[in-house]
Amino acid sequence: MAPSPVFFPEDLIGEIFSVLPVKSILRFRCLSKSYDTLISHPVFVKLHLKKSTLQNPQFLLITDHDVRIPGPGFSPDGSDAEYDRDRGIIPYSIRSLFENPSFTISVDPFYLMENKGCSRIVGSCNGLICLAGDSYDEYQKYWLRLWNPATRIISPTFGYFHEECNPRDEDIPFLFDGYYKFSFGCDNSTDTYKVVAYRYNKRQRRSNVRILSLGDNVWRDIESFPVDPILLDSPCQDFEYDGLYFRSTINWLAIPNEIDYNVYDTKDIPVEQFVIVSLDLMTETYNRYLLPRDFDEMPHRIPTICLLGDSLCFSYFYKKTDFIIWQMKKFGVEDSWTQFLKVSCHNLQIDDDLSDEHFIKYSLRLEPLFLSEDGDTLVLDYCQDFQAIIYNRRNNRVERTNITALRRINDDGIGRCTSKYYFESLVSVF
Amino acid sequence: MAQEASSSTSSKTISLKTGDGEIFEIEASAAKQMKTVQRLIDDLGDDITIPLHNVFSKELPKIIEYYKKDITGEITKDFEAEFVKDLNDDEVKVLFLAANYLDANKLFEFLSQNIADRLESKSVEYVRKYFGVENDFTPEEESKLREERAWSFRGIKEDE
Repeated sequence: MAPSPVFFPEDLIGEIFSVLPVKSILRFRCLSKSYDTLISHPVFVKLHLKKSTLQNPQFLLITDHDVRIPGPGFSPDGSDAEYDRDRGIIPYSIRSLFENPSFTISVDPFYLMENKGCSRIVGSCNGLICLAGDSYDEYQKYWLRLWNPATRIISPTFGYFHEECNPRDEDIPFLFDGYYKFSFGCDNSTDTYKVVAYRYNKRQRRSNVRILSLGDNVWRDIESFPVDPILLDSPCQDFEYDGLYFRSTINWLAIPNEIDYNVYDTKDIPVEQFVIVSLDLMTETYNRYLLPRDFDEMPHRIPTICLLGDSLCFSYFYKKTDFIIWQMKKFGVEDSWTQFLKVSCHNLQIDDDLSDEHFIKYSLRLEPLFLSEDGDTLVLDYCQDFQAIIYNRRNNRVERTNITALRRINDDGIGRCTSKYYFESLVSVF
Repeated sequence: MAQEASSSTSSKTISLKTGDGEIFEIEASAAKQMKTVQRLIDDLGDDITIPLHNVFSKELPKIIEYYKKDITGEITKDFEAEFVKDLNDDEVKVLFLAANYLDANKLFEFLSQNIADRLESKSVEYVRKYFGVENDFTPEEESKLREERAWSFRGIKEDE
């Protein structure tokens, strides 16, 4: 007869807890004082973080949508309603996506930006999401907030800075040097989270880049980009050409800004001028990486970089007939570029869309999002919709998601969308 | 049980004796996956019956079954699901502790995940009882914590 164990070692319980979802872990803080301490201990947080990437990878649908404000008359048919724009996220699990690509989503006020005093989602790293807000009255102002949606904790605003916009003297021309964009990452050597702010300065004719480390909360100006990221001077935070965080670096696809280019009309862009600019968050200096040598023909849409299966990847449409993904097998080693996938648009079942020139110019977008652990299943974000393409490399099967937005009477209309990879963590926002 | 005399090491079997005195056979290559057993073999030799004081006759056959599949590379998600299907929460717990004692890493990780899956939606009271954890919060402290994290208490299963 086996005696029942009177004592279950705490470290064993820690092992079991480290693979639980955040919601359960936080509930179990009530077990006892020592578990309350265990769960908030940095060692446990790190262990959980490490396992979380494999446990339950998720996507964040980052949505722009209209928020309905009932009109002053509260008319029953809503004809006097007004609409405001807000941004938010909708997390969903990749595993459940594979099990059932057809599901419903709805907007949860908890995940909206406006009630947090922010207007954009900068990026996510280790389960933390960086938000930014800006406003303009006398000055163009910016601020940040750090949010962990899994633990439901958000930091106060920090990183506030402002720029002069208005002329003090009417003889001096209007001063506005350019909008800042942001990127978010972590210096893994010191576990320091950093935010990078950057823009093209029209007056100085070069980029301005500054970094803030969480903790000391002071913006430090660093050198300009050696080569300017694509669309650096566009006024919006454009998700496709945002900085990509990877292993303590932030990466951008770049092209010398002496070259005049138009993202909608790419035929005259010299393909050999493309380069990846990589900002090392540890040293706060830049590296430059060339693209694969076999990338020698300019596609109709500017290529993009992304992360797949723990490698930096580079993808583009080839001659409107194929989609190609390259993988930098060893980060930083240009010789390690390997062609990971070449799949025809026909096999992806998007070839009908490619017959429309207007569509190709303005709407076409295919962004690799996620590769399953066994390397067989690839999820791709397609266009501005919130549908994704699930492609199985082994048997060449394609499935489209069928995500429907729940619309209730006072509900929001979900507009433009993009998807980002994300996973839960217990990491503190402070 | 008579030990098989074999000239080739690949079909060598090791005899294991549980804490309640029963003897089970296991192939040497499977025994290698359990670091505690391997250490005992290294110390005592592989011709002796290896004593496992903290593992009992209820659990050991199940563990042997798992590693038999492991050495032939046949562990699949379906096998693992089937393996734990008929075990209740307490039986899995005992198996998990045995895997820990035997330093059988693969089984340990699999059972950690299985226990986590079982506990995910359980109440705090159930988990306390399950692990034998004593509640040292005062009622006021506990209700404060519960209030702060009220959202994490939604959607919990009823305790059986």
